[in-house]
Amino acid sequence: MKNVLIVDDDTFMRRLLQQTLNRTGARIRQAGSGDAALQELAAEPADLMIIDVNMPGRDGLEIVQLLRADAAHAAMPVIMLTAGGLTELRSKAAALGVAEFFTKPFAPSALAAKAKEILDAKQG
Amino acid sequence: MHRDAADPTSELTEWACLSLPAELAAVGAAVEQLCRWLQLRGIGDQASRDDTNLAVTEALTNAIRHKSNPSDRVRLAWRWHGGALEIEVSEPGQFAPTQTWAQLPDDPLAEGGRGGFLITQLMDAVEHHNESGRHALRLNKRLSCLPPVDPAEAEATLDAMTEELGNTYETVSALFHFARSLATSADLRTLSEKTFEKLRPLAEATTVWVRLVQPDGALRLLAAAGGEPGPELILPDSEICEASVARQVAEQTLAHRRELAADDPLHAASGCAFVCPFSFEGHLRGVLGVTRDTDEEGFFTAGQLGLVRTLADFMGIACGSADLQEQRQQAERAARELEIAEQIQQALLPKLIAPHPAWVVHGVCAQAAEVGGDFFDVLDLESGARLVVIADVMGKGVPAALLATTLRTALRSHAVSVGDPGRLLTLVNRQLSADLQSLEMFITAQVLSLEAGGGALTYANAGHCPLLVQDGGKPWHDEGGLPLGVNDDEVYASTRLELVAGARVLLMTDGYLEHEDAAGRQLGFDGGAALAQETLGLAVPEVCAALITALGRRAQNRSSRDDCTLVAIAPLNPISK
Repeated sequence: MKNVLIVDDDTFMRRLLQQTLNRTGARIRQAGSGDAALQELAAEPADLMIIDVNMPGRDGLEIVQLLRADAAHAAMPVIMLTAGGLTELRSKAAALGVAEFFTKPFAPSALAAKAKEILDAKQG
Repeated sequence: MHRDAADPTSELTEWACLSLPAELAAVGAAVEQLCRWLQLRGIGDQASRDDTNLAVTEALTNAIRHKSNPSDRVRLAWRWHGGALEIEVSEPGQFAPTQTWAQLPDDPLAEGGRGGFLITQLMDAVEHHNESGRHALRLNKRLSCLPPVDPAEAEATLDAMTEELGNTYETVSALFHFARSLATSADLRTLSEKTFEKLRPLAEATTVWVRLVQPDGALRLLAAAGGEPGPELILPDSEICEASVARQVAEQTLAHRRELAADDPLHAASGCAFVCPFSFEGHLRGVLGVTRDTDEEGFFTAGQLGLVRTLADFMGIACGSADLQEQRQQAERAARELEIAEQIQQALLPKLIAPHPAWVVHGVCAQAAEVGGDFFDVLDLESGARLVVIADVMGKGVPAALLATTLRTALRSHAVSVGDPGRLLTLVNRQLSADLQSLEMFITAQVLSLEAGGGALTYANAGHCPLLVQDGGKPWHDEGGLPLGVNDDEVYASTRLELVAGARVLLMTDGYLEHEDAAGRQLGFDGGAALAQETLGLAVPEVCAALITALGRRAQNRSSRDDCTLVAIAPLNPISK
C-alpha cells in the first residue's frame, strides 16, 4: 500500500488532509513539524509528501531542499501548501521539483485528485 | 515549585498537590495552575473560578506569613469530590484563629486582616486543622461541572467539524472558480459551462441548468449540465414551478419532487430540487436550478444551497455585464455608422465648383452631431446651363446618406437628357418612388437651372424649403409639389425667375429655417430672410460661411440637431429692368 506523509504544524489542517486523502486509498502518516517529517522519512520513505510551507522552525521549502539533497528522497513527489500564492515562492518550489502548489483554502477534492494522480502514476 | 501529583489526566477525585516555597512571589503561579486545572475540566464558570482564585491567594498569603523558617514550604492541594472543590492550604506550625478571624477589621483603614473575611465569604465552608505539626486551612466550594466528555462523541464532533472545514474550503475554492469564470467568460453560456461542472459535484446535483427571461417574460433554456433540464421554453403564465419562481421572484425548495404536479417538468418519483431566481439592478434576469435524482442524500445542505445562490448572483452580474457590453458595442457601431455617413455625405458634395461665365455659385454643408441626408450638387449641362440641386433625405445616418447617393445618381443620369427642373424631378420621382415608399422614406429636393446667358433661372420644388430671392421683391418663392416618394405620378412644374442686378438667391435645407437659438426659438422665414439680408455686402463665396457663423452665435455655440446646407447664387449678367 502506498503511503502519504502529511507535514503541517496545524493539527486541524492535518486532520483535514487526513480525511481528504483517505479517499486515495493510501496509508496516511502525519508529522507536526519539518524535523518530525525528516524523522518519519528516515524511518520509512513516503510515496508522496504533502507539506505546508509556513511552519515554525524549518519551513516546508527548507525541508524539501534537504530531502532533494538526499538520494533516498530526491525523487519523492511533493505537493506544497501555502496560505498565499507568492510567485517567488512558487518559482522556488518549482525549481525543487514540487509537483503541485495548493493555496489555502484549497479545494480538498482537487487535492485528493492530484494526490491520486501522482500515486497512480508512481510505479510499484 | 515542585509538582507532587497533578497529572491532568488523573481521576477527578484524586488529589492534585503543589509544594511551593514560602514566598509571596510563588503564589500567583500556584493559583493559576489550580484555575487552569479547573478550566481544563470544565469545572465552574469564570466568575466562580475568579472567586476561588481570590480565596486561595488569600489563604496562601496567610500561610506564607505564618511560616516559622525561611526554608518552610507551603502546600496547596485540591480535588474535585462530590460536586465540590476541596482545597487544603497547609504550612508547618500551629495556628489558632481568633474569634474575629472571619470578620472585617474594626479599623476600615487597616492594611491587613481581611483575608479570613474574604475566604469565608467566597467559599462555602472553611475549617482550620492543626495536625502533625502543620496547620491546614480546608476550603470547600460547590461548583458546577460540565458533563464528562465521551471521547467517541468528541471524535465524531471533530470529524464533523473537519468535514465542515473541508466543505468550506471546497466552497471558497468554488467561489474563486466562479469569480475567475465570470472574469474570463465571453458570454453567459460559457460562464454556465465553466461553472456547472464545478457546481454539480459540490452540490451533489444530478442536473444544473439556467434559463433566461425573454422580453415576453418566457424562460428560455440557455445551458444545462448533467441531465434533462426540461422544456426549451417555459411560458410566463404557466403553472409549473419555474414559472412561479420567476413570477414571484422567490426561490423554491422542493424536498420531494414527487409532490409536484405530474405535468411539472421537475416532477420525479424521487429526489429533490432547488430553483433560484437571479436579478440585476432589481430586474429578474433568469432562474438557476439544480435537481437531485435520488432520496438517499436527502435535501441539499445549507452550504450547497448557498453555493447555488452565489452562482445565481454571479449569473445576474454576468447578465448586467453583457448588457453593458451590448450597449458599448451599440455605441461603437453608432459611432462607426456616423463616421461612414459623414464620409458618404462628404463624398456627395462637389469638391470644387468650376467657375461659370454667367453665375457665381457657392455652397456649404454644416453637419450636425447626427449626420442627416443633406446634400447639394452642381452640374454643368451641354447647353451651357448650370444645374443646382439641393436635397434633404428624411432620416439620419447611413440609410439617409445612402438614399442621398441614390438621388444624386438618378439626378445626374437624367440631367444629361433633361435640363428642365420640373421634368427632371418628375422623372426622378417616378424612378425612386417605389423604393422610397417601401422604405417609408421621402426626400425633399429643389432643382434650379441657371440659364447659360445668365440673369434668369428656372426652378422646381419637391416639398423642399422655399427659394429665397434677395432682389427687393417677394423674398420667398414656394411654388412646388410633394416631396419625392410620396406620389408616383406627381408632376412637378418649373417656374422661371428673372434676376435684377445685385440680386442674390439662397437655397437652404430646413436646418437653416428650423435652427434654434439658445432659448429654443426657431429662425423661421422672417429671421432667415433678415439674416441673409445682412450678408448682402459680402462676396458670394463668403455668404454661406458667414450665415453658418451667425447661426452658431445665435445658438451660443450649442450643437445643432440637424444638418444645415446652404447654397448662395448670384448672376454675373443680371437682366436690366
